[in-house]
Amino acid sequence: MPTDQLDPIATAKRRKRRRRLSTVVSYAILTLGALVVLFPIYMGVVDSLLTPVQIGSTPPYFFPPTPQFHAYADAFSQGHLGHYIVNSVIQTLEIVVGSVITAVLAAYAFATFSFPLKRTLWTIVLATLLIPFEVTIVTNYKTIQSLHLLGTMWALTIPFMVSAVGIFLLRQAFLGVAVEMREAAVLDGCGPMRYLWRVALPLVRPQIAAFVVIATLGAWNQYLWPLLLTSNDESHRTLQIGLKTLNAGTFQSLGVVLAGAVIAAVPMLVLMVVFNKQLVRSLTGGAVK
Amino acid sequence: MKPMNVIKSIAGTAVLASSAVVVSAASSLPASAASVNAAACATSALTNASGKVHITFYEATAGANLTEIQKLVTAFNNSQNKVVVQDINQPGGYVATWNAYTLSGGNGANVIMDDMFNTQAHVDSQLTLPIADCIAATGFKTSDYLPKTIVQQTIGGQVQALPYSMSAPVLYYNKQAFAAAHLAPLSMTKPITIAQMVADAKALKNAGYSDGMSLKNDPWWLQIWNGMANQYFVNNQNGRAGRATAATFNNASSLSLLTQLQTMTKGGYAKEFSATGTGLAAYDNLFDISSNKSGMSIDTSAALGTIAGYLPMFKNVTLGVAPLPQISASDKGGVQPGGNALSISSKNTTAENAASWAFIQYLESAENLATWDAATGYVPITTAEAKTSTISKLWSKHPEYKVAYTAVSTGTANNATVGPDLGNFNQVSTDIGNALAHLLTDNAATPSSVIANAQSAATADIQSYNASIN
Repeated sequence: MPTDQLDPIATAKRRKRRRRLSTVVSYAILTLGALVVLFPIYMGVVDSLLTPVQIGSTPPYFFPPTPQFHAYADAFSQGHLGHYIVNSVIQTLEIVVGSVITAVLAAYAFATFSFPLKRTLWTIVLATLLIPFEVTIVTNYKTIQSLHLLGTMWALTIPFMVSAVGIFLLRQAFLGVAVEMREAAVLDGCGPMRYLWRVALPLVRPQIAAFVVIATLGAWNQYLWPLLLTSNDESHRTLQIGLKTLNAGTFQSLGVVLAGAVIAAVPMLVLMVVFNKQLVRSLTGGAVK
Repeated sequence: MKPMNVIKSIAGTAVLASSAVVVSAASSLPASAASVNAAACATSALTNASGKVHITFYEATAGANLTEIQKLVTAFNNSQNKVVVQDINQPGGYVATWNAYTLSGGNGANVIMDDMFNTQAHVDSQLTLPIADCIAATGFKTSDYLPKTIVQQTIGGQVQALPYSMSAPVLYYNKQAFAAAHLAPLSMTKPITIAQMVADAKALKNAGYSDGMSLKNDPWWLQIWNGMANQYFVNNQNGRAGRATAATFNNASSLSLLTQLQTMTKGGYAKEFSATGTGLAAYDNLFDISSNKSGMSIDTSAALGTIAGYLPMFKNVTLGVAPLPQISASDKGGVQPGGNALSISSKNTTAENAASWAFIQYLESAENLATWDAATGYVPITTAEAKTSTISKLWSKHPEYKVAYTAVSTGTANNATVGPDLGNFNQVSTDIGNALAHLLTDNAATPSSVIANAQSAATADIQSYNASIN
């Protein structure tokens, strides 16, 4: 047997070298993955700052020689992006607030109380996760129509104010709260709603934050439903729909279209950076009991 | 299929299902023409209306086209005091516009601009009024329209929608590339054959243009090439002598065409491009020309304004435009028109019908058509429009704008040359687009099996659609 295998210092050094190599390889792969993801976004920003001829040039420009910032101003002035952004913000806020409230209440009930048909109802909630929204789009449209909500912002938001994902995520979070906490609260005279508000909610705040991020991403990027609902209602069109009107079909306007796309992506990029931890937590939530 | 396409497909199917609900007796179609009901569009209803009649107009234009249509709507509103048109632009394109209109039960709009090839769906839905009613009510003459456009919009013996914007595919090429490959400039009136196009692509490749030709996999062209060869694309005379029940494009002409197209991609002197690209990807075939990789491409004439404004920015490009090549030199069908047509809602009151028709007539006056086409790149649709000073000046200065007009004007207007009449046209087009993409990217694919499979898929979709509306 070689002597260095018996030498603990040599073994530790070898392990350290292996760990370092493993770290370097991991980071190299992660860096490569990040580049693959970020490169198209970077090129979108670069293209939005190029002239039409530069956009179509080969080899492509990887940096704008003389940035054409006017495309961003044009996106706002020609495309009325300011109006669409306001609509998107209102729509997103309504959906997020509404879906958080309903998810908290439903998840709390499923996690805490016993009631008839609880298992059946829970199965139904989970089953809705398997149904794409597009399948229910006609029924939802007819419902909104019969409620005379067409032409209002509520039409864009009501169908999304209940989220099975949110209920699932928060139920798991409430189940993680020790039963003893509730028993102690009840002994101290706490009612169910007071317990929810004072004890349970503060404990599941991280999961709520994670759900807020997911709901915001979903609401902001909606396309099909707002497109359909605002067919007769230009005043409530959202940013994603407004971007389509920038699609001028001319090369001269390609920079404006790309500028619009960058503008639409910025709020979500900021959200991703700021709430990165919450988003990761939401994706791994429930993985470990 | 891409995930987004799957979602669109699901959504489209859902909307189709909803539209099927409103269909009752539209199944056995047309040939025996329903009688024209001129009273439905009586102009007296507009004259007698108290106050102004407000109507809504759905259109799916974008950019410069949107600006122009808005100008025309404003001009119409200012030109008279009986009708007020509200233009509501639909950013989702024709399919989304029709879906929105269908979901509204025909109440969303009074006038709708839609794809020329979607008119059978209008008839099946019973949500649009046969425009023949208004034509009869006012004695409007359609004899001045290019015959193919009227034959194309005639279903059940009645003109269902009035053709508005017309385009046709043309061959765009770089004259400098042709010169470098020792090829003569192409004629602007006489189409070359596909065989000649293949030879030219090969010459371009040999001259250093590495891709030879940029070839989009557009399903529209297969149906046009069939029409040029006087072949029916679907049975029952392209669905115009009775409802189509099967696709029939698996014929010698298609086989010859696909074999030659695949020869180009296999030999490396044509590069395949997606016909469904959006944003920058929609222009990849043109970027291929501007970057000196290819010397020619086929694209719609509706893009001529865009292309003519862009490609010449590059010093290495001198734009040339030629008619769409044909499979055989003996093909006499000419090119079939594409574009859009204007329909009127069947849910209108008589006054709204008359107001809608007044608006359509305004848009379709020779001068206004000329203004629209000159601003957008579409092709004149009536001979009167073609004779206006606006179009004369345009053609005199830019003769390439006349190429598509000449190509559509050429050949007989009959059920074969005007293309298929299908209620689920988009679905069938998707089948063909998928087949073309497969053929042009997989060298192991054989043209005979690709065309046979595409025909089977299209037939299954046609039969499924027919069953749904029954």
